[in-house]
Amino acid sequence: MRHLFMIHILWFFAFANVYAQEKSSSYDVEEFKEIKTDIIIGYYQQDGGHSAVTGGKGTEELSATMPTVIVNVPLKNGQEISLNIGADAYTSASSDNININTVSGASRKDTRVHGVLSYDKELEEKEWILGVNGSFSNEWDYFSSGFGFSALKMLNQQNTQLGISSNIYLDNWALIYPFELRGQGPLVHTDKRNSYSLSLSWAQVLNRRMQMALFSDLVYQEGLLSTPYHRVYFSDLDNGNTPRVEQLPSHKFKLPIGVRFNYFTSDWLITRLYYRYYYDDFGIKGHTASVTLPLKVNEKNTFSPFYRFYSQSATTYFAPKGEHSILDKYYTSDYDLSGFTSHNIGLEYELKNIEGLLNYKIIKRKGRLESFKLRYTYYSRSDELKAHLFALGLSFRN
Amino acid sequence: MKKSRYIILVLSFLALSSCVGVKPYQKAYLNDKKMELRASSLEGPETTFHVYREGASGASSGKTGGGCGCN
Repeated sequence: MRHLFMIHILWFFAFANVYAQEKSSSYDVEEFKEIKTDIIIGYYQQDGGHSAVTGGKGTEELSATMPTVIVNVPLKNGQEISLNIGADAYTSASSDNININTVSGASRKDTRVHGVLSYDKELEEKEWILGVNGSFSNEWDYFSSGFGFSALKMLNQQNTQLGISSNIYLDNWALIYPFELRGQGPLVHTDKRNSYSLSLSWAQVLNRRMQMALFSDLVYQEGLLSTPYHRVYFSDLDNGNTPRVEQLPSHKFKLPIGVRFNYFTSDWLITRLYYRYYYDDFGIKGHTASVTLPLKVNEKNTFSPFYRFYSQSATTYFAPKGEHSILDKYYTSDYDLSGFTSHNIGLEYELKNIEGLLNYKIIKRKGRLESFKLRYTYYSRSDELKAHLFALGLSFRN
Repeated sequence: MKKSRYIILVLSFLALSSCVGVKPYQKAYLNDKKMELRASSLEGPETTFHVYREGASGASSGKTGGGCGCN
């Protein structure tokens, strides 16, 4: 772990040093400022047989509709405000099983609302971009508020970008326990979860057709890192019939490092590659690799088939239903933390016209629909969880 | 082994630092939206379910952890 941490620090400072003396000669082109509005609507559906709510066995049927609106408003003197707001409405059969005596058969329904407001300012002829942000998220059992800052430095005629950002999230759980375990006093040590992250990025143009970027995050979390309504059953407790509430350590350290490489392979083909290594001190090590191949049929139409492979090792605290011992200090039967591999495969389609696919006028201000996107993803996990995701995107310019 | 890992990493960075500077007017390919060094805007909902359904997250210029009851 210490070595990964050192690599994280080393690569950033190595390059910061190399470019420290460079002086950018960025072009001072006054861009035409437009308000950008993106509407994204996602629909997600999954099913599996390893719900953590019922101790690692049971339906994971879930569907969610996730509309999001992102508005970027340019202001004077290189300033920009952006707002990202969304509401995820979901129906979950497993959440309904928090009370297994429910006989309605109706799945639990709820909504998560979330938003991020950010402000960015360009300085020194776009050599620096500084930003701050505030965020919130609220759902039936969880509330989060967060804030952060970011700084981006352009170097080498904008062929190099070094970025640093940090975020803090202060979260609160509503402690909802499984129905049969209620009334026994507190079953977890706190209802708070705090997360602190430090992110570094380095983006580099390699030549006229290639560019790459390195990303790394240091994330530290503390507080309630388990989920209070997840059940765990034990081999040596009441013949495996009486559950307890999931217990996990109150501190977690995560370190993901990712690299992205894009290559404009030919006039009609782009190759996009991504790899990430992930480590955390719960014992999970993960590898993610993906390839996307945007195919430009003509100026307006692009088809982007993609494939993503993911694998992770299980957390030290995982065991299937009924296989934990009552002597264990920490325990979970959440298959999201088990060892598995997963595959994503799908296709994204984009119809784009800078002049506008649809032009309109709202209160004397002209606007246009610049692009229309559709995306389908099929997700398959080795523990037989399957999911489908549809997404629709509309980009407006005013 | 661990030492060599550091060395390879540092050398590869230094090697890349010698990349030829590309002028702004030579960036027609690089400025294409599909060449952006970030996930597609439509990947947002996908990233959301990945951080719930998988143990790993972050290092993709997006969500790093926190702000949700996810992993």
